[in-house]
Amino acid sequence: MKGFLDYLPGSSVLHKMHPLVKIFVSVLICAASFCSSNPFYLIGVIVFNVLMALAGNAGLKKGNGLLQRTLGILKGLIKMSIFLFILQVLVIRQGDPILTFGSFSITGLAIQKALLLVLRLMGAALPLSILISVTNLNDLSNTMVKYLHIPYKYAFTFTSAIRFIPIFSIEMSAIIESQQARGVDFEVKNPFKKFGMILPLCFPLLISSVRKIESTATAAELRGFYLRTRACCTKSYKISTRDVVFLLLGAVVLAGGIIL
Amino acid sequence: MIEIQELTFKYNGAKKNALDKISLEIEKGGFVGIIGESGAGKTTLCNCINGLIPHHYTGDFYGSVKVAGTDTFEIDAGKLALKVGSVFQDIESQITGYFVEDEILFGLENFGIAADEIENRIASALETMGISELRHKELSSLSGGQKQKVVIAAILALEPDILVLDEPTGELDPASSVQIFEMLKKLNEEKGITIIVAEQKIMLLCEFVKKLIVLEHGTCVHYGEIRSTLTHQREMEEAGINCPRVLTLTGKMVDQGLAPAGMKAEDRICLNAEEAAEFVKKVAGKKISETAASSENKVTSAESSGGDVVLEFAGVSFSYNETANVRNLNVKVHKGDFISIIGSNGAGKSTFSKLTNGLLKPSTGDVLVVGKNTKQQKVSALAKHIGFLFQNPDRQICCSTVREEIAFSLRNNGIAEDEIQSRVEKTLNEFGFDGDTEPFNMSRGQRQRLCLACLIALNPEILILDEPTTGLDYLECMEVMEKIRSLNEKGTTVIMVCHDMEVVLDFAKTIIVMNRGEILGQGATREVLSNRDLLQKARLLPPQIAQVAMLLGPAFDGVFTDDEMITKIKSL
Repeated sequence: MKGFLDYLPGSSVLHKMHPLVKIFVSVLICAASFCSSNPFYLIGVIVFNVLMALAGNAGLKKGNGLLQRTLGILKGLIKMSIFLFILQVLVIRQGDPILTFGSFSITGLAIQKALLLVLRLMGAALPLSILISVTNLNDLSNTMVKYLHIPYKYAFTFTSAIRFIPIFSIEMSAIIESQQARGVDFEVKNPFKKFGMILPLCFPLLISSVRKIESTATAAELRGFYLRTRACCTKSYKISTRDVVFLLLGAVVLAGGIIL
Repeated sequence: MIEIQELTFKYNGAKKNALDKISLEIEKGGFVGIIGESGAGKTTLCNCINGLIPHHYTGDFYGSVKVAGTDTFEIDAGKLALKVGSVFQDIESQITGYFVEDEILFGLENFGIAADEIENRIASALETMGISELRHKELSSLSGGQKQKVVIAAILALEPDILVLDEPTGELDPASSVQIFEMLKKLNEEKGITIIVAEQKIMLLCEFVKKLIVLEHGTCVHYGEIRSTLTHQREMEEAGINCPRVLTLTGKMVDQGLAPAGMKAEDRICLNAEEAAEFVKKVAGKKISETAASSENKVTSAESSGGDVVLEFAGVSFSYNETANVRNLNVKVHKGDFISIIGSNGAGKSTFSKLTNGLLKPSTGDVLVVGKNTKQQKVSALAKHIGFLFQNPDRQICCSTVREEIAFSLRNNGIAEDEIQSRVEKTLNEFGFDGDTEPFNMSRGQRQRLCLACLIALNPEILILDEPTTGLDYLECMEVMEKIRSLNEKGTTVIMVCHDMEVVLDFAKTIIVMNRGEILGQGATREVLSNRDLLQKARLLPPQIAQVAMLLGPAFDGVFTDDEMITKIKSL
């Protein structure tokens, strides 16, 4: 079972890029999404994200599944955006009314702000997921230690947290199955009712997560985890021309966001 | 190599000592097994040898543990790991990398092994474990057995002198478990690595280890050569250790005067079916070969109960990924049946049980539970008819007291509050539980019993058990299984997925054999377990006494238990 952040192996141009460059560019794209107030530009940023997913997918069709994953996330974001859009439109009261129902009115500014919010959300949420999906987490922690001088234990904790997401999600599915089998009705449509049912399951999830984390820590400790220094990493990670080009592309996207 | 002197350890906050005055020595090149009931201190002893105690887990530590002359107090667990490699039961949580190669590299880099040496170490560790072809594979694509081999290879790359393994086969099926032990034997014999392995599966220990440590309530009650230790079989059984059936057989033979005169206690110790067959041959002599199979040996056993059909699979197929497919399943289960589904990993056993309670819906065909199609039923509605006992009790338990936990199940199924109170009290009495106990403070076996209690309180028509005995010691296993048997006798239909052939033989009335998503055969328990071709095709081994009988030839056809074997020998 694949989550939304776990590694999708491949040999695409994105896979070959320096891990830190990928993280940095994803931050630039996020920033561009927040800097721009132009809805058309923000749509452009979303399209740019999908194109990145296409590049990392290593082919239009099946590939490694990155494109499919990205479109899946986008679909989820659109559903959430519809809810957020309606909420914003109803809540924001500034601006001139363009539609009035009795004492209640919808303003043009509310629609504009709500649209910007959801487009920014989509533009900013996608790049990190796409670029982490094409980065081997070991390479990411190695480069964080080597180039950013982050202590290994923090880099390892960061990448382990990402690695644990699918493990916990499998565990949660198994817990839900166990509870369904004893009669808990998770097939209800009301999301609030469903949420109320899932809440008590945090207890078994917490217990099993703490156990797993504990055994990961002991296993890592017995494999010299605490002895690791910056010099320990034997792989070399060099910045190549394609990394520079990708960085520049990220910078252009950000500049566009600021200007437009 | 390892000297343990008067070792006593109590975890912080614990009331009792986890280990109590343990003194023993393990020599270089030893292959030592550790056995004991749940909570006997097996894991604690392993953790004292690899230095996790006292460096990672703290508590009151008395006595000393010396590894290759170094006191574990004076060297931290990380550095000690270069001498003592450790492997644990939970395979997933030991993995840190995405590719097999990353996994091996992790430890090597941490310990600062020179870059020019790393390549050799990776290649050699993978070659030793026989998994060189997996080097560039994704770990997530490997089977449990392959992953555990990678974990061991990652430790081997560090070139330790000692390997400590804490239930390394706990999550594996019988075939993969044997493979892991064969690997350990090879490492011990060819590389001279000292191996210490804590394990519940005593048959594996008997087959492979040279020495055995028997723990009981934190004390070492026996330690010595495997054969001499096993002469204490009766005490071990009383302490909750399930000794191999061949030992029970030879023990009974000696008691009943069927052993050769002047035999030493150790001479009757058989470590596997082959040795037991030799022992029987010695006793029965020529008579075995002279006796042809007679009609009285014909395999007979209880057939299906023939009651109303409570569950039916009609042409059921299901697939959700490459590894979990089932095809064209046709099964009819009658009220009061006790069916065991057997097969190696990936056979489709779990998919079968999830199709039964509606967690999975068939892609083609229909599953009918008490006449209702699962496709038109919610899982929660089917739960009123079907109780499902999962392998891992911790996924089911979610309340803060035993009383609430039982009531939670009843409430989910729409039982009235008055009725809930009376059923909870009845179940508490039946199982001897204190209603105010916190479930997560109970032992694994007790938690499994609690889950069973929650199901029994619901009084389901069908009970599905997914590996109900995993992680339980012999006494706990028997307690759970006897409870299930008594339910079955009262009319509950039981469907059990189980790897342990001895449990299957003792409890199931009929068997369904599955392999690669298909039903290879079904029939009465003894009929199926004596069908060598069928079992071989499904990559399964028959129960141990049946193996002995097969080795002894057609005269012993239909012999499955030690008592039957003795009767047969006497009749010759």
